[in-house]
Amino acid sequence: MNVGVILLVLTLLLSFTGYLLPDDQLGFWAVTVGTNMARATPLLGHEGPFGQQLGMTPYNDVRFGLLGAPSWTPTRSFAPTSGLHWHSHHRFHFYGPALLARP
Amino acid sequence: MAGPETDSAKPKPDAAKTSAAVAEMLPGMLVRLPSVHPRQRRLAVWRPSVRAERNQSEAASAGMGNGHRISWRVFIAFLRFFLPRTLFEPPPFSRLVTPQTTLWEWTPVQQKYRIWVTARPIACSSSTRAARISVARPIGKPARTSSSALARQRLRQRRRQLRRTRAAPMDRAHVELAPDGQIIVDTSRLYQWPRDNPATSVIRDHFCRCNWERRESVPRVREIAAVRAATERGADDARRENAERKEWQIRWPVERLKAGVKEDLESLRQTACKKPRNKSNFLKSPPRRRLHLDFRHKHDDTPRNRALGVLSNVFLHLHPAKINRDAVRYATPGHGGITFYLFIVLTLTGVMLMFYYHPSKVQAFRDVLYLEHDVPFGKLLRNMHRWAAHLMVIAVELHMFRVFLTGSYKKPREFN
Repeated sequence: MNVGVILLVLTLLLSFTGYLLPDDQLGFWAVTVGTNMARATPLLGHEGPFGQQLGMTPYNDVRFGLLGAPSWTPTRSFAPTSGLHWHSHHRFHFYGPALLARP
Repeated sequence: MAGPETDSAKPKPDAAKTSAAVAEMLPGMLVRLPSVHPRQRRLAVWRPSVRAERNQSEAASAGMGNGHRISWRVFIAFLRFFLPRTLFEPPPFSRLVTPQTTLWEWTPVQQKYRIWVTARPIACSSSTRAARISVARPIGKPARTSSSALARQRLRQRRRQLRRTRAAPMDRAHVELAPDGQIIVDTSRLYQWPRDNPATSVIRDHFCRCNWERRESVPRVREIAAVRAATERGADDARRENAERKEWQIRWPVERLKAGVKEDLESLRQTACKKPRNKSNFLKSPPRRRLHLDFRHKHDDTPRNRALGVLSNVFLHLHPAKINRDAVRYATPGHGGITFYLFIVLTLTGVMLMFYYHPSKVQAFRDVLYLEHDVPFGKLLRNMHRWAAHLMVIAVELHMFRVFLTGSYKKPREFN
């Protein structure tokens, strides 16, 4: 898997959780939209198989959980991943595909 | 096969009329194709260039502008960007023909992998002459292979011209000579600077200018003789040669070490006789340490090694005096560095913001209000955090776009 893609996803996650933190109207409705989107996930939401058994009901709410862990998990994983990314950049010094026909 | 209700869109299966009908129907409509050979049908559907030409000619004849549409290949390339590249790639490891084969078999391979043999063995019987395989960049377009006399003459000229070019490592792909005499090109591995291990590679000394005089060492000549024996003579001879070669591979470091110790002693004797040098002279031409030959590669004073000395240092590589030619082709805006800077800003301001923030439903919004209105510089702090976060998302996406444009996700950087 691509380290850069992981970093991109982490960045988006970080920005989303940071957006929720002030708990103003924007953040509140962002949480609402986000949790509704998560519910509608085909296999993991409450509409999927074993949704009720796993405790995923349309009534339980993850927004307090999102607020309670203020984006520290992605932040912690961001630093080593970006270090790996930087290391691999440093390994292959120049940019661009390696096997290009030169003029 | 089609009912009478669809026959208005269905052309007759004449060969001449079919293509015209296809060209007429293809631009917008989804129609059932006439009964043609499946290969032809695939061509008609899958070739974006043919389709675009047809669209353009039709649009020109109708007096309309050119139809702009994203071709299939661009779309699929964009999709492929998000998937692991190994799904779409043939294995990078490829075996080529032996370099001793005739020119007609050899040339397409050269064109494909951009390989050139700078020197062939002069006589097959003489075992002292080694087949030096090196990989060079051909100048301009490669010659076409055709059987006409003119083409053959052109090819001969080209060969002569190429023989004069200096060998250079081919785009950093790994090239090796197999024991059966075939050339192996592995594009997933990078070209490694040849080490002084006699068992690794036949071409190892070729780019090493300072080793020029002892390039054809005894075990390697034997190795190549064994290779040639395997391809030309019988299997028994090959086996015998192989055993000899293996024995030499074991003995070779010992011999070399012995020779090195001898040379060290010689040089010691000579330097002891001479006047003691001052320090600058010592630094200019340090005495050779022979032991290093067997444990690590020498630091030869070549342009490549000098560049590597700069590039492998974290601080020097940021502003190098000399860079690779490939590095100047793209001037990147440095979105990765911008992202890193923004991340540092975010971490610092975020830690400072955490002193004022309680992550709970009751306190969160109050803390933000307090920070905005009552804390000195609180508004500045919060807005720094906020804008840095927005800019970081933008910078990351621009970075991804740049990576896509320059193709930096391709091998060997597929895991970066």
